[in-house]
Amino acid sequence: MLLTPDVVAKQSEAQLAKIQEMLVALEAGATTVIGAAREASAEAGEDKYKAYLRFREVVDDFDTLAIVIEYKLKRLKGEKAASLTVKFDELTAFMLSSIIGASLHFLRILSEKTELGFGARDVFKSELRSLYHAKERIRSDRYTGRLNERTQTDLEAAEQILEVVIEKAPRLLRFDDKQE
Amino acid sequence: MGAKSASTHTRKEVEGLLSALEEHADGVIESAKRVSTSLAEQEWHAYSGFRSSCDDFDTLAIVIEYRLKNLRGGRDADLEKQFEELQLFMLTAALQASLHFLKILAQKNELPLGSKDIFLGELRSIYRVKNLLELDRFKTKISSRAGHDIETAEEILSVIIERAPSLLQLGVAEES
Repeated sequence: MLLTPDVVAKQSEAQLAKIQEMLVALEAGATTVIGAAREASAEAGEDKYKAYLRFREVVDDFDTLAIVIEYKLKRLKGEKAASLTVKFDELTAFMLSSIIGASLHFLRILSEKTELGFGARDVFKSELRSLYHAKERIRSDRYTGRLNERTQTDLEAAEQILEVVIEKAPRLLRFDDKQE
Repeated sequence: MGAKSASTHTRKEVEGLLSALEEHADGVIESAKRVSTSLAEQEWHAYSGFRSSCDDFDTLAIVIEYRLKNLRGGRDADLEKQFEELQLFMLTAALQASLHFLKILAQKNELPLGSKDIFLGELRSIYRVKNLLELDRFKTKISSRAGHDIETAEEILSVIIERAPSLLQLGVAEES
């Protein structure tokens, strides 16, 4: 097919429509993550972690789709692409804030225990990494100005909790008993 | 949870953790070699061991980063440099491993049962590692080989994403 300006414009329109559709799917993915976090958190209080695995799976699905959308958006120019990028950034910022909130909750539940069983230890390590990386990502330039007051408070709490949890980490996680 | 911890750590203690981190790095490399062989033979069991050793490295690195911030007697430039070098080594090794795994899997038109999760896991990993290597603290220190790997990662991500969602089955309609 000859790439005339008309053809290029039509292809670009089709791409934008596809991205819009993906953003709707991403929004649905965000809702699923929030629901899964609630279920996982209720179970973790009772020392059960099956729902937690489901929570991590839906977070992974969200991340994969977000990577695809980011790359597709990078290739497009124009006002509509810019407005979709704003929407995308808002959605990923919202998701990062929710992930930080969920991690804080899980870590609070788990750090109240004096010893962690096998399943709990994996959740603890996974949430430690999740909180650390979400905190690093949300501080990037891309999200400056998009964080609400609640997220700012959560970030301060995250920093404090990481300090405390890491103090207890080798004992609680037993990943390096010989160092203690 | 109480207030922020005020305790500090000795240099010797952090040196011990850095040695453990170095051992973890060796473990990751060994594990990556096993995965390469098993992927080529369409066996997926070694992969979870590889991911788990990467996660262990990551967790220990986070612990060390915080302990270096709370070192008795103040910050130690030598230990921080040693830590950063080890992190950079691990990131470049992880990127190489991910590129290798994805190349093996991308040669297949359809992902065999069991390999889809590996494919998606590596896609996320390559994206994350590439973004980390592009951070200011690493980008001026990476080797030309790693720089080339980052460019390849960018190309591979673009190609895979062009083939999405049919390959990735993301729950949205097929590309027209």
